[in-house]
Amino acid sequence: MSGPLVLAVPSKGRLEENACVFFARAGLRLERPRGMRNYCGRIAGVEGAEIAFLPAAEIAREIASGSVHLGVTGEDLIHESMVNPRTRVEVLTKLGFGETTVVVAVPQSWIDVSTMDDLDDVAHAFRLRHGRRMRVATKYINLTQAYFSSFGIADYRVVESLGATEGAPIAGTAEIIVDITTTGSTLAANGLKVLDDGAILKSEACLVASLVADWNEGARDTLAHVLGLVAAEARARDVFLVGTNMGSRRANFFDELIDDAGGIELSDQRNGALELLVRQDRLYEVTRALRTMGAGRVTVSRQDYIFESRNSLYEQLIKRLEEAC
Amino acid sequence: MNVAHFSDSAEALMRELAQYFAGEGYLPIEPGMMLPADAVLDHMGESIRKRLLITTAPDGTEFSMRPDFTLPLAHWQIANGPPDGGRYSYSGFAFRYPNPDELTRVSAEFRQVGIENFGAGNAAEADADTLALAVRALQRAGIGSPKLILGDVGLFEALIGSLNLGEMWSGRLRRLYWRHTLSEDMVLSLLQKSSITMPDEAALGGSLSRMEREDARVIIAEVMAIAGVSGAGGREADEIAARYAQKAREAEGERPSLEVGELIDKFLSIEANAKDAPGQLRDFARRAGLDLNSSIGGFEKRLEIAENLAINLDDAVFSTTVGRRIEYYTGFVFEAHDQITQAVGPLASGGRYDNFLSDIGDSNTLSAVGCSIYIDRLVFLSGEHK
Repeated sequence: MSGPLVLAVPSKGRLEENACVFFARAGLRLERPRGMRNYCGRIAGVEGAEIAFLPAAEIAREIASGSVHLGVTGEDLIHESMVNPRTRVEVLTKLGFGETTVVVAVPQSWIDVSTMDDLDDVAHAFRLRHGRRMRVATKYINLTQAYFSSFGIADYRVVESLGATEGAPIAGTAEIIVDITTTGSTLAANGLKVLDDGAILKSEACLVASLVADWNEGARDTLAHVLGLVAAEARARDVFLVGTNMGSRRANFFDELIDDAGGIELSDQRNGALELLVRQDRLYEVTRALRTMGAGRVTVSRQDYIFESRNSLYEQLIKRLEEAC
Repeated sequence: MNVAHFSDSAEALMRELAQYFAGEGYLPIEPGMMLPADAVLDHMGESIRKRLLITTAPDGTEFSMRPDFTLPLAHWQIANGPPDGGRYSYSGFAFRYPNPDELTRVSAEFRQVGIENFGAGNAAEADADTLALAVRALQRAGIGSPKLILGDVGLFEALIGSLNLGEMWSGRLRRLYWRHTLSEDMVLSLLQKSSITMPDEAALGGSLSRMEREDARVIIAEVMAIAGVSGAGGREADEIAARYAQKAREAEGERPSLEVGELIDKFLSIEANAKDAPGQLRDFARRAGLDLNSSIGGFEKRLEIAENLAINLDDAVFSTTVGRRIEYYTGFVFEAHDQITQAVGPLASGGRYDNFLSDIGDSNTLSAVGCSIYIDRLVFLSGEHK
């Protein structure tokens, strides 16, 4: 069996832009042949890959059901859209954008409520006093249920809210909310405050793979291609290539250089010529040490890609797929 | 997820038990399969949502397949039943997605036969009757002497009531009782946790804690009015003020003593042969200096009546754990298990739930007791035993 690798990418907004930048950095140019209105695309130069441009929440669901192989989506959506994410998806790498926190927020006027334990008391008293359950406006129904029940809170009802959730308490459609926030300013503007222990989940955009998709040979080959480039670019972004010539002055210079702090690796060493891979925070220190040890000129350069002998991201997924079998 | 298989033996057993209950004077009722999802969630809480079979009407209204028969029969009583209640039986499918650990079913449909007794005059007799009927139904299904676990939720309520802990702590302990699995020193650890801290306004909290309750409440309500804080979020200013003042007093140490925590934990760890339980409970109450006589007497009375109905209680066990997964129980509770294979869960369970009907809007505030027989578990066991 052979078929295309389906990669799902957010269809609009900042997530789409950032996702395209992420893939472009790895040399994978995402193309939308007939413009923004087209929801199918391809990766320039990668035969066997199809791109599905979808809303981020739908990507999480499609990954869970296995109808796409790879996708860019938020951790919040992954945890919301499936019961046991570990059995269905593998988070390959966090992408460093789309950072947000899913929080429990209550009206600022609730000066007696600062923790989830307070909320438990208040929810119970609310039901006794008002004859109905406190309402929680959210689109994160499953996250809310799991988090509230971990504190033993049961006296509440979820009111599903797919937009402008922060406004629900003022509008009178709910008492409290569970929603995402980055700075908290929208919450504050709506007279809400986050509980001290109200951070349910810290989330950022991730590259995730479905463990239940059809991983046929063709899809695996294309996956190795895509993840190989992603991993090699990520590896290259972390380190500098430091080159110098030690001549015959020291034989054991490398042993003297390395220490427990990490960030220094030997890349190549031949006839006195030396190449090291060095993390940015150790760069100056290393160049100075080399010169102290008698090196002449030291050159430092960025690399576009560093392909290791092992395709680490690819192997990580293949291992999980084998475990899942 | 599979669908339920047609099963001759399950259908036959269901018919037989339905006939038995009808013959005992329990009017068969066939309630509708669907309920408004709101009615189910309002009643059972959000934790049941994942297990409900919910469908959405074109106008957006959500309906749920019935997750049990008690709620639809209670609705039926309120809409159609006589004002002084009645005795009803049911049989058919109820619908919940199974828990991952359930052995006996892979389908979201499961068969139940059971009874509800609404508005019975003599609670002790009705409770013992219900237990006796459940045991006899199991005997008809080939379970000669089920393992009985008996309890009474009212005992815990009486204990909390007699300790005079105030509204907030009584509420916390009740929730702990209903919602957490039993551990040896759970109440003591709650008291030791002492998580009550006041926010920045600690100075205000300190002064409030030394005031009369009512004075403190009035001051906070005024402060909130000055700050222009409205009753947003559905709680009135005085509601918030009262709890703030109470929290301030707790932060200053107004809370149950650790001895109270040890006492409640000790009560929860009582496990005894059912017939020895009243004696042990009286010992416990005497040592604690508490009067629990009427609750203990009530439990004892039910044992007596059940024995007079020829139910053998020699092997029955008393437990404070039984019935605690179903928050609406208010009194006597029981489970009947297979003597050997207890992992399938109870074959029958039941109890008293006196607030159920008034909670869902019954103006007659009828009492209620009932039980369910789990047909699929019985069929599973008969397969196991072959």
